[in-house]
Amino acid sequence: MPYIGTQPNDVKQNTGLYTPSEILELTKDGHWGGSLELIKEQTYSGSVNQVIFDEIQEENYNVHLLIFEKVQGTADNVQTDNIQLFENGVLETSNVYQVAQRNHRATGSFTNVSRSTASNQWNVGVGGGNQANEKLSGYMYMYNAGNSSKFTFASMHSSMWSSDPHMWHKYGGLCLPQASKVDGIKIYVSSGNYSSYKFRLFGVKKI
Amino acid sequence: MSALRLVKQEIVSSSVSSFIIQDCFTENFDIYKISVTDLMTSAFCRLNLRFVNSAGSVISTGSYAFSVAEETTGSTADIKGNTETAGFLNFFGYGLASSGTNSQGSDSWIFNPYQSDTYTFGVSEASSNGNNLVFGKSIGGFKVLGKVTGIQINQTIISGSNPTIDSGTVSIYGLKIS
Repeated sequence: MPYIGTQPNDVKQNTGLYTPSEILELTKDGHWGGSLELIKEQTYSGSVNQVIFDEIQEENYNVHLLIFEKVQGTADNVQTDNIQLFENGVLETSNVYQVAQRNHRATGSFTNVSRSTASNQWNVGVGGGNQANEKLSGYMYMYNAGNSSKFTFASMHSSMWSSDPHMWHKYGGLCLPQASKVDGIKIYVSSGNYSSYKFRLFGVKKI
Repeated sequence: MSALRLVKQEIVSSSVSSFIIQDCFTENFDIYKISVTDLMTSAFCRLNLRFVNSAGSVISTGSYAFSVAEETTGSTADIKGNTETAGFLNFFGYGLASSGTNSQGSDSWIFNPYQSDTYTFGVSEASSNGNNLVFGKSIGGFKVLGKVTGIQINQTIISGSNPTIDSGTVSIYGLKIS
């Protein structure tokens, strides 16, 4: 199988040609193709107040990467990035989520923390605005979703032009301290609808 | 920029005080992602990173500078740092006893390890879940010129008897800039 252009990244030496057996061998070793495997992409196409990932392939991946891009709501100064998880198909809405996060504002005059052992959600941003460019982007790594004997937890980092309007960033850890299988993710806005978003869920390849 | 490519995966299946992943850094890639999941230990301890040079030796001199900011669900936060120490402390968070729901996960990036004319840098974020959630965000600089070809993951005792690393998975991925 020929390929076009340079491909210097293969972990095995090659002469520029892949035979079917080499492809099978690389696939078996986990070295064929990229290592972030797109599970699903959802892009704004109309007014909704929530986005659900209901087939996250938790059996295939123990690490998920959720990327947020250009997230904005129709209302001003609301959370556009709340997250709740489905356990065996049932949405967990109780005050059981844990958060340990820190927020910084570009003015340098303000920093605060988000800490709780009894939150009804995770979130990855601060109050978002509804003016031009007041949007959020960021990522979240989620661990052990499919392991019913472990807690599901995550780390995240985001940046946003908030309703202040100022530049913020937020980072920290998140946990759903219940030994359960998580098989879905709900992302929702606190008030109003979304006016913009692109969410992409990846599985991090493992052998 | 290339796609992220899986370079090496190490599964810890026996108790060790530290372990080395050799030859994971090569001329093929510039930036590396290290994903560590459920690295469990016999007792509560720090999970640290050291580098291995091209001669295969773990560098344990005070050539590492790091800073880590930690957040918890409780009322405390902590910042650790050192400019002349023997590893990136807590780069992979905390090791917890492999019982119950205890768990650990981290996402780390290493920059330019195989370039001999520049220092090697790293950033990391790690979560550990025992009785409480602890999150740490790290930066690190390895202040030695020369090729780095591998990593050592070791532990530092916090209290009690010397812990061992008992289980877990380390996956290393490569990115090529050009």
